[in-house]
Amino acid sequence: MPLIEIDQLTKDYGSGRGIFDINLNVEQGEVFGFTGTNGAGKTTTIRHLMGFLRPQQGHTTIGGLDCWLDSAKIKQQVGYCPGEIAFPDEPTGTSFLKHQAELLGLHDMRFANDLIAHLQLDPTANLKRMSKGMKQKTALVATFMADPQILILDEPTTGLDPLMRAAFIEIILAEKKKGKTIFMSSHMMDELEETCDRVALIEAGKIQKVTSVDAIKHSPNKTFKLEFADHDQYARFLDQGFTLQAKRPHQNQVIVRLNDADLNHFVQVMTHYQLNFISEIKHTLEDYFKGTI
Amino acid sequence: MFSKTIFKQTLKSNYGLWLIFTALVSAMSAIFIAIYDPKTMGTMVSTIKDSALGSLVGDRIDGMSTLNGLLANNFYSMVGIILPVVYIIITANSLVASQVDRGSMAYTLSTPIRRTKVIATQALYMIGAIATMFLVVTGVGMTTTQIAHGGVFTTAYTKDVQQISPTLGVSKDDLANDLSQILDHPKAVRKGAKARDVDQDVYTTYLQLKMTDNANKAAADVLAKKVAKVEATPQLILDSKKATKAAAKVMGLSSAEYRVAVQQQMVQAKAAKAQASVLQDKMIKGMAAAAKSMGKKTADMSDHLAEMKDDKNAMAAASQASGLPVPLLTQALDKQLATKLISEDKGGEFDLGKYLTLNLGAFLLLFAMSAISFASSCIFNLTKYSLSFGAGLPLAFMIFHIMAQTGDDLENFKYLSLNTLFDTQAIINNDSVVLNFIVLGVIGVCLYVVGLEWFKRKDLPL
Repeated sequence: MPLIEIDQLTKDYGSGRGIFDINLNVEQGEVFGFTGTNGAGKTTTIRHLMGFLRPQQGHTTIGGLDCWLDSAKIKQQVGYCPGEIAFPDEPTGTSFLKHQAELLGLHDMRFANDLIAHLQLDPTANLKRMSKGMKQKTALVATFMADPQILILDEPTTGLDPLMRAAFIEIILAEKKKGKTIFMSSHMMDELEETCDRVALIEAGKIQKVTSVDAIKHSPNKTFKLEFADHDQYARFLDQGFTLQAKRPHQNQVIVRLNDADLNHFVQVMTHYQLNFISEIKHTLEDYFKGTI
Repeated sequence: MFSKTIFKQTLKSNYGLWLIFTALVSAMSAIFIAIYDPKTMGTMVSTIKDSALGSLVGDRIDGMSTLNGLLANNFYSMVGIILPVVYIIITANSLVASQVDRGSMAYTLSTPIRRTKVIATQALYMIGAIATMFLVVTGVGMTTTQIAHGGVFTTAYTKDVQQISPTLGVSKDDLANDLSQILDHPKAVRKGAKARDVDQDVYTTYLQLKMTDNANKAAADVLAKKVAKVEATPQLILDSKKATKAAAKVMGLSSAEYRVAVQQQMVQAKAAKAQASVLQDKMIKGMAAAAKSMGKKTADMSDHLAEMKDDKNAMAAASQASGLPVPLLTQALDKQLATKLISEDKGGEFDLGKYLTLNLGAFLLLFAMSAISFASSCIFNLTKYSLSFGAGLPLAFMIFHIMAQTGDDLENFKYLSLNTLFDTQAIINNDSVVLNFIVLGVIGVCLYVVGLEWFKRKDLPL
């Protein structure tokens, strides 16, 4: 049985806004990415998982418990990073984390301190005067510090600089290694690509595609860009019967799609040509989803 | 249903506001009490009553001359309510709605603490804050009264008793309980008259009136009847041996002597009653003539009775105009002046029971008000909507309350105000307010439950 189950979840806010018939399953130990444009319904879905919103139709469960009815019980094993940073009235980051630890019933702050060091956070700063990135780091520490089995993160990297984003990805990968189940939303495809096992694309409240990142990264279908030494060779190649994604006669370039099975045949054919260069065009999640939206 | 951690956090971020408002309300109440002076208050009240302002202030004026009355009609129907209401409005909103609106509630609710527990804890803070605020205000009020006027933790004694007691070598308590001891010593009478700033005749009349009052009170206690009833029919006292004995003791008389005195009094009263209207007409004529002679307005004469008594020309004019002999006029004036002293004494009396009831009532009213603000804070996700109800309704109630008090035309506005249930005048009049208090309590409890249940079920944008 999947650990997180979203079953026919619908919340209609009228005039086309909301989420409609969402079905998603996240397995134990899986890192699941959730992407889509602003207002597509990512946060609404996550709020259902946290038991903040009551489903109009369908239901969501975590570990077999209903997210609306057993919300408090579920949160014993869930860490949540809200999409909007708004801290309670606390003077400093330290006092906020301490208070949050009390609410969580957490006494051992060792892991929290590790996280603080890793994210290079100075928690003694005034909470209200912190920069967006600092606040986000503080929020992340609060999310991770109790070492929960399930992590639900709503755009956890907003406001982080590239260096810190890398640190965040390290943390996610470390958590993944520990067997944690992670459900995170993000605009950043590269970030999802680096961390997630599967990614779902939501658009206008509906799931458009769910894909395995592995399948994209290690797909047997590859794409190469070739540039021939002259136009004659270019013209000759067009008749070789390969699948061509694009032709650029002025530059003598073609973009070829190849399955791994045809690779040897391709190499043999190419011995009869003079090339300026050949390069592989990496398949990315972004390209994959671009066709969808 | 209660989270210590959340309570601690709430306390930490809210105690400042509580401190400010509690200090403010306590200080206001202390000032009200400290500046109260029964003598000026009595004069002021009679002045206001006759002026145009009197109709604006309405019925409340009558209760104003005592400290309890002043507090009831002034502090506990205006400042003492409106300041805490402002505190409640701010606090109730910040306890729930503002946290949801800003999103910081997400951190609390992402922990394994139930929504019910969060709200119950916040509600408890709100109620506790109002309760402690009024405990402090009550404490400060009682202390200020004790310091400024006495009579809270110790019995308050009038100035004359205070000064005569060492002269006669009698304790204040004994002296106050048997004022006849003063009448027995001319020196004591002289001292007492000086202390009360009246002449000896007036003071003697005052003592007699006061002793009669006290005797009636003692008899009423024995008979378990209202003082007013005993006063109206003294025969009731004479019918009971025990009551007669108690009353006689206060007068410094034996039961037999007292009996005779009362009977005499009853005959006199009967005669006086028959002549009352005739006498009154004569008095009015006399007063008008005296006023003319003294160059004062007739309406102001009540403030110049002592002067009139000493003014031979005025007395002669009054005697001529009224056809009453001067000694009789003097007697009438003495009695008037003595009555004034009596009401001054009454003003200085502090009724602790009424004071505590006032504070309990204020707490219950504010409890109900806070329930409106709190429920609204639980129901709405946005501060602006939470405030439009949570602040709008209590403030509207305050405004309707003030409008209803201003004049008869607007009196029906009282049906639109929750404040009406906290009937301070009824407390002063010793009318029962139990039902009102129960209604306030029930409204409060119900609205807190509504807020809690609503919050439990609603969608949260966190």
